[in-house]
This record gives sequence, structure tokens and C-alpha cells, in this order.
Amino acid sequence: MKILFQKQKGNPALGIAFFWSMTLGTKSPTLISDHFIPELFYDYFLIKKGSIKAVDSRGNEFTFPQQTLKTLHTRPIKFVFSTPLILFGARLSLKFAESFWGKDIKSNSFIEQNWSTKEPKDLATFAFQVTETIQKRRESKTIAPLLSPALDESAWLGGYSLRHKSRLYKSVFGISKKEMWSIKNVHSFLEQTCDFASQNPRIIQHVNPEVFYDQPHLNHSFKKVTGFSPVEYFETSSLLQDNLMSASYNEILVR
Amino acid sequence: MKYAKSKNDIVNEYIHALNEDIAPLFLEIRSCILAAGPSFNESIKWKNCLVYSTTKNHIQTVVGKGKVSLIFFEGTSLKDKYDLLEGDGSKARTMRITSADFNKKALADYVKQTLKANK
Repeated sequence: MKILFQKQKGNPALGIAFFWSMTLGTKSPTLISDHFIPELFYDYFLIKKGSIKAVDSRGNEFTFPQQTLKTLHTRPIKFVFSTPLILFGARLSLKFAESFWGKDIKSNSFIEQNWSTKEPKDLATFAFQVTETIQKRRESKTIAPLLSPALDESAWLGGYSLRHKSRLYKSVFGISKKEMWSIKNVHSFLEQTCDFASQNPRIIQHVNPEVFYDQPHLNHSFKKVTGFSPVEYFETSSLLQDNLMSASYNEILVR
Repeated sequence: MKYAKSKNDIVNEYIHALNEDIAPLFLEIRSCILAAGPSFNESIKWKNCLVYSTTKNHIQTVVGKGKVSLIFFEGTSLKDKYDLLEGDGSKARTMRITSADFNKKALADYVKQTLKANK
């Protein structure tokens, strides 16, 4: 199997973290399973060649149309790629959701879209088409951003009731603030500089006491969000997400 | 810094950002691994670990101060005739490399064994 992964800069002002393309080539057509854990990003997919099926932890299956917007997921999913596969994608931040023009951005879903009207020949063309669509169609859902990049609530929300704010988060992002924090906490663990080579893997040394009380707390939260224990996850191959995650961690997102 | 570019842009960004002190050693190790295991794909797992994989992850590279450590995920299944693998875990073993005159023959042997076991 050969993998080609390319990345192109996005437009943080529009909530586009970056664009990417992934090509999976195998000697003969085959199915490849790939794990995908929840992240605080929306992902736009355009399938140029091949097909993708998503299976969630409850066994629900979804076959991707040619263009799909993946909303925020609170549960892990498994992708089944059929090769040869050529995928284009855009990684979108929470800022994008604040100006998404669609009415419904429910969590754990895939929404068929048509942002690219002509099949793009390369990543640059795809990036141009997606940027143009977002630029043209975006409409602010709120008078100002709801959250800071660190997920702190904006000052202008101070006067609203908890109930109202909770409705607001759900309608704009698709998930509650509590669910966002669960995902963020797991990623605060994964974002760390991993140096498991100095000893055998000792997860305890990487538990941030400001986020998790102790290792069992980390294990429980980690398993709930990802479906894996930290060590299982460490050894699991996830072709697409490994690349998307490391690119996301290295991007400086300006909201 | 000259090196064979990866097919993965993220890996190229990672190499480009490596500290000058450790980059030559890292690249020497990388070229040795890829020569012995041309079927490996490279990706970055977590924030800063280069992983060599086929259909699953096999070797992870961790860069430390003045050293590069290679974690063989299925290290216990390797025949260690060079006695360079460290660790007492149930699966993984680590090869620690600190200078450019490391045992390339041993590394190539571990890589080939890893790929053979995966077939």
C-alpha cells in the first residue's frame, strides 16, 4: 500500500484550517479500515476516486456521497476505504460553524453538500472552489464569536441564562460545551510531546494534573471518547487521522 | 538540508523543523530504515513521532536530546543477535542511537525482520 498526503494552507479568517489530499494505492482493489476519534474540527470530503463508508460505534453505516461535511463527532467512527482512493478535504475549525449557512449541523452526522461544482483536477483547484463557496455563502449566526480558541466563553454571553447558552452552543456547533471539553481534554493529552522511548510507555508521566485527576481518570475519559485505552491508541494505525491531527496540532489557528 | 522527500507533506514539514544538531543523525537513520524497508509509509503520529507503517504501525522514531530512539512495536518477536534492543515490556523494544556510526547492519536486520513478520 502506498500513501500520498499533501497539505495546503487554509484561510483561518473563514475557519479553514488547511486543505489536504490523500491518495491510497494498493496492488489490487481492497478495503482498508481506518479509525477516527472525535476532534473539535469539521471535515469536508470530496471523493475523486474510490469510496468511503463510515461505521459508528453503534453499528450505523453511512456511505459517503461524492461531497460530504462531517460534523463534530462525540463517538469514534470507523472508515472503510475502498482503494484506489483519491480524496480531497478541508479541515474546518469551530469558527466555520459560527457562519455555516445550513440550518442543521447536528453532531455525529454526515451532511451531503456540493461546494465544489466542477470536479477539481488538483488540490489547489479544490481549495479555490471551497474557499469561494464558503466566502459566498457564509452568514454569521451570532453577533460575535461564542468561544475563544481555548473554549472560554465570550464576554458578551455573560448576561444570558445557562439554558439559553446551552441551546446556543448546540444549535451553532452541534454539541454541548461539556462534550467539547471532553474532546479537548483528550487532545490535550495527545498534543503533548510524546517521549515514550526513555522508558517503556509510562502513561502516568504524561497525565496533566490540571486536566485529569489521575491515570484511571485519564483512561476512563480517553476510552469514552476514543474507544481505546491510551496504549491501544498509541499502537493503532489511523491513516487519515494521524496526518490530519498532526497537521492540526502544528497549525496556528486564528479564530 | 538534503534528503529524499517523503510522500507525506507533514513528514517533510516535521523534518524541516528538526533541530540542526539532531537532523543529520535522524536523516541517516531514516534513510537506513527506508532502504531496508522500501514498502514503509511514513506519517506523524501524535504531535511529533515519526511512524513507519504498512497496514499497521511498526516502528516509531522519537527524537531526544542528542539521541534518536526507535520503538519497535512488535520488538519481542525480533531475533536480537546484535543485542541492541532494550526494554522489558510485553511487546515493544527500543533501539537507542546516539551517533552516526551506529550499527546500520543491525538496524537493517531489525527492519527486515519486522516486515517479514508482517507478511
